[in-house]
Formats: sequence, C-alpha cells, structure tokens
Amino acid sequence: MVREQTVVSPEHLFFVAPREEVFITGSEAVAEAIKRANVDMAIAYPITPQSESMHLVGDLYAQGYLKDYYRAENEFAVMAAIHGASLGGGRVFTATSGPGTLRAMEMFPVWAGARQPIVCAFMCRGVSLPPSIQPENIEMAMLLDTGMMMFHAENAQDFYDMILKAYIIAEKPDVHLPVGVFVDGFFVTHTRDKVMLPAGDLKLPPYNPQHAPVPAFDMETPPMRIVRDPLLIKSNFISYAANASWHQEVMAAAQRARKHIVRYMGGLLEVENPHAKVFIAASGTAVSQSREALRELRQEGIDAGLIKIKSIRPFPEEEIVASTVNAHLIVVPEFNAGGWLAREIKAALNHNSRVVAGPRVFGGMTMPKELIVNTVKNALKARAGVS
Amino acid sequence: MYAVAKVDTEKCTGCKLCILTCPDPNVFTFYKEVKKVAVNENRCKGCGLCAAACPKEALAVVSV
Amino acid sequence: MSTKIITPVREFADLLPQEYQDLVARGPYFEPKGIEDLGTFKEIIEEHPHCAGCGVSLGIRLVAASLPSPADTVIIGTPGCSFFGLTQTAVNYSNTAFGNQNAVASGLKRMLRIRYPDQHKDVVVLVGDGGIADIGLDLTLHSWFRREKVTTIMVDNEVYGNTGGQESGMSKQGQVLNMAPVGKQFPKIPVFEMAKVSGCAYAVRVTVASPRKVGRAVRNAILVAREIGPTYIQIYTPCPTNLKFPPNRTLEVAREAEKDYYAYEEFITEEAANYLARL
Repeated sequence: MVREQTVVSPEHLFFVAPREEVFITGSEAVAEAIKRANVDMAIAYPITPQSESMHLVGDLYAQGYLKDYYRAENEFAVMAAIHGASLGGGRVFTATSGPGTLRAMEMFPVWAGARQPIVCAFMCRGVSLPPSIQPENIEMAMLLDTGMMMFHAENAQDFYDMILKAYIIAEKPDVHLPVGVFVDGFFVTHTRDKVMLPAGDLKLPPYNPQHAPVPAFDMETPPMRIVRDPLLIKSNFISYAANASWHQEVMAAAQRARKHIVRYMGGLLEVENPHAKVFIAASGTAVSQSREALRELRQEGIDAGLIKIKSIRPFPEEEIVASTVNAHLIVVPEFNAGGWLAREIKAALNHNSRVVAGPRVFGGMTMPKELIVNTVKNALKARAGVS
Repeated sequence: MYAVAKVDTEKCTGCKLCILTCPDPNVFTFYKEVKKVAVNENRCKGCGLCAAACPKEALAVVSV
Repeated sequence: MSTKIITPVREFADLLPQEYQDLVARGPYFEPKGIEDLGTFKEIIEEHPHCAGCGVSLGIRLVAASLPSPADTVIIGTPGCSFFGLTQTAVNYSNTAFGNQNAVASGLKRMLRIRYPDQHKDVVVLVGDGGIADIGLDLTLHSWFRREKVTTIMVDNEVYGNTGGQESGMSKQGQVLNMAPVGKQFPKIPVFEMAKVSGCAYAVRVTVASPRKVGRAVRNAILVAREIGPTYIQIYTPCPTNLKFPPNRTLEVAREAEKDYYAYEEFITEEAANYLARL
C-alpha cells in the first residue's frame, strides 16, 4: 500500500501551506513531521522516552507513508543499519534516548565522516548511575564533536518544524551532513501542546542521491576503488593529509549550513529584548522556563533579555558575541549536571566572567522559574557588591 | 633483494593450479593457445604457494 | 550498472590509469567469469598490501572472482586484515565500525530493494573471524533471524591478524597467541552450526585449499540470497604471519585442517535447493 500525497516544495510546506492548530504530544509531533517528510525507511529500537514516537512512525509504515520499517536488535545495530540504508541512497529516520545514544555512539562520527544526511531525533534523558529515565540533556555534551549538526527544540512545535527542516538543510549538496534534533525527554515528548500543522496529504520532495557530494552505494557510479571512508590503511603523509582534510571538510560543511539554517529556521538563535544588559541564554525546555523567569524579572523592574539558542552545531558564536556586546550578565540555565551550554558560551565570549553557569537541574528535577530569577538577582547583587 | 616466481615453460603443462593458489590478483596470465602460464614479476610477492602447488615442478621462487 | 557508466569518453580515456582501462576492456562486469577463468581476465582486485602467502587475500580473491554479478555487487566489510584487499576492489566497499557489518548490510539491502525493485543488487558481507564471531556476533545472528537477504562470508584465519596476532573466538583451543598466553581456553565458536539453526537457507564450510568449491559456494550463496534468505560461507584462510609458518605452506596448512577439523560441509534448505535447481 502506498499512501497518495502531494509533493510540494519545502518553502511551500514550511511557510505557505495553511496550518491548523492541533493539541498533541511531542511524540505525536515527531510522527506528524515524518508523515510529511517523504522518508523511505525508518528503523526502531525501544527506549524510554523515545519509544512512543517510533511506535507512531511504525503506524505510518503500516499506513503506507514509509516503504520499510523494522525493529532492530540494539541501538548500535539501529544506527549501523540506518548508515547502511542511507548509503543505499534514500531518506531515513530513527530516534533514541540517553543510554541508547551512548550505546550507538561509535556510529555518529561514521555518519558525519560518510557525509550522510541522516536525521535522528534524540529524546534526551539521564545516562549514568544512579539510573534515571528522567529528562536531562547531558548526552548532548557527548555529541558536540561527532561532526553531526545539532538542533535543540524547545517544544512540540519546534520539534515538528526542526525535523522537517533538518532534512532539507542536511541534504543541501554543500552540507550533506547528519542532523540530530534534540528535545528534553518527557517535558516535550509526553506533554500536550498546541502545534500548528499543514495538511497531512502534503509531503517534501524525495531525496535525490544524485545531488550528493559522495556516491550512493548502488554500483551505479564508476566502481574504481570507491571507498567512501577516508583513507586509513596507509601509514604515510598523503593518507594523514587526506584524513585531516576530510575532517576539515566535515567541519566546513557544517559552517556552510549556517545560511540554510538562517533561511529555513530564521537563524541559529533568537533574541528577545536585544537591548537588555542582563540576558538569560538557554536551549531546549530551559528556554520556556527562562521566558517565565523573564516575565517575573520584568515585574520586579529588572530589564532582562532572552537568547534562545536553536543550533548547537554549528554553534552561533558570532551571533552570541553580537547579542551580548552590551550585556554585563549572562545567566545560562541548563537541564544537565555538566553545564555544557555555559562552557560553549564562555568559549565564544570575551570577558566571560559575565557568564553565570547555572542554575542547573538534573536527574529528572524540574526547573522552577524562581531558580532562574534568584540566580539573576543573586548575581546582580554580588556584582553590585564588587563594584 | 626480491623473491619472485619464475616459470619453466618447458615443464609447464597449463594445468592452471598455480593460478588458483596465488593470493595476489592479476599475477598469473594463462595463454590458452600454448597452454602455458606467465608471471607478472612486478606483482609477485614471492610467497611460493604456486611452486608448492605445481605438480610438474615448473615453478620456482628465485631472488632477483 | 550499465557499460556506459564505466566506459570513459574517448577524449579522456588516455588520462585514466592502465588498470582502469584493463578493467573496462577485460574485466568481469559484462561477461560472466568464474574461478576457472582466472588468468584470462582482469580481476577486480588491485594490488594490495597483504603479506606474502596470505590465506585471507587468497580467500578474498577467490570470492571476488566468483561473484555472479560484480557489476551489481556491493561489499560490506569491517576493520581487520580483510580491508587491505577489499579497499582495492572495484566494487562499492564500506567498512566503518568494527562488528557492525551485518546491520549495515541489512539497511543497505532493504534500501536497494526500495530503489531498484526490479533489479538484483547483491549485498555481500566479507569480513574476518573477529568481526563475525566476536564483536559482531549479535548483529550477524540477528540479521539471520530477521532473514535479511544478504550473503555473509567469513574469512577465518583463526586470529586477529591486523592488530598483531591476538586470540579470537575462532582460534583453536590450546593455541598460544597474544592475549592467550597459556593457550586458548575454549573451542572454536560454532558459527557454522549457528547459521544452520538461525535462518540461513544455505551455508558452506570450506578452505582455500579447495578453490573450486569456494567458487561454487559463493555463487550459490549469492543466488540463494537474492530470493530465498540469508546465506553463510565460512572459509578457512590460514595466516602464515601470525601462526608462524612459512608463507609457501598456507595451502598445506589448509589441507591438513580439511582432513582434521575443517571438513567441507554444505547445508541447504529444501526451498533453496529447489530454487537453485530451477535456475
């Protein structure tokens, strides 16, 4: 059974097609995106809190929206099979969470090194002992340097939009890299939210492997020693140089994605109240909590702004520098113990003592807006005391 | 010093056993008309498997 | 793949290396070749850095010469000695993470069936014993359980060759090797027996000392995998470098193993036998 849908341009699907409001979970938003993404094949393996979204993708297969779907044996096998399916020249989807991400870890640099426009959703959760299935996004820190592009969705609407846009950005011939679309598990996946959706009978144009900068593995290109992996079996200067330049090209491809991210996602970050002297900078659901904190700070007469970082890789270093040029305090609330976003921001800024790396919650803790408000107020107080 | 296989064309009967024992590709050529094999010495690593397999002792590994 | 794809335009032909031109003019892509034709056509493997007398490289060479449709064959490998020859082979070849080969092949085969529903695209896994029996055993078995239409070929040299002669699950019991300082403490992993009960429609155990049997097994295995289900070939490919025997004794070692513990064995389901009989 093949589901009849109308192929429309990405621009039409993203910006023109009329949308209607629905009230759905983040997991359902994933399925709504995949329904319209013209995906050839998806591979699933259960893990909380990802599972429900891949059940729904399986239902889409049963309904004829996808051409193949199966449940694999573990996450390493899933990511390897997704790699193989993508080598075959089609559009693919999978998703995982926390320990599954780490189990599959070896494959993510392979995707990037093989220049594959794979889109994978990550429903982030705790990974370490003591065990936790609860929301936190420490796994993002571990993926920062895999070569994958990384988008962090705030809510179900973001999740829906970013997955679809990720395909179009990933598949640009001058990019052709994998994209991880991340959300904080449970907070987004298991709660209902208002999401604006275009009609379900529209879908993106299919992936065209002939536009790829590397050949598909289908023996339809001249087969003269086509090893798509960079050289590794020779120990000489040329092979080291080939390997190094390949890695540089992967990083350069992510930089070339910036213009596409600006075009389709409206920028790598969004700034609210750009002239503020105090900023909260956040990604994912911490952005929603920061908005609430902002409202309260304003009520108390503190004029604060918000920087919502949507693209973690490539990271908007220059945009953050420009947005905070007049700021004297930047508070970075996060849902993880490590504080990776604060580290990234500190590394981008001059005078990074302006950055307060916190508040941070983890292990499934929620982040009350008061926590952020108090961090801002305490930092302002401390600084006033110093000067 | 390199070691390579040499064919004694007097002894070679063209049974092709050597071709099936060589671990390296495109070393041996079989000439059907005269039923003889030839060795591409540039590709031969001199392991001697062909010589060990030859029933006519037509192959030997020699230093060059 | 059509001849058009690999035939260079006249103006550029002389820019291409001689090896490429030989491949187009005398290669096995468009005129069926087999083991018996070796020595009369340009093989798809190029020069490689395998050791002199290497059983693995002989195994790979015999497999490459036996592919029923090299013009539409994709080989999936895994790190290890086998990639030395396979990266120099003129088919699409990928080796990425150690042990992931049967999962990669599963995804690839399914995608090629989506994209080429009316054409056979043969997906062959060709890796060493460590890749299949140790680090990739779960993924190999699961691809068989799922009945993925892929041919899996193990070149079994009973040792981790590329990393310097360590014990593998396929090493013989008692063998002293790196990481087995007092000798291996357990027998060879019965992967061949596992293949028979895990969903393979056709399986052969053979050694490089029987090249014609290797050729027939590879051909049958790939044909059966097109229509019936997964297939497995286990080829004993002794390693002179790490098992420390002279390189001109590789076939003797294989022949002795054939008599002792590596006897030729063929397993075929009725369905696969009927299918081959119909061809």
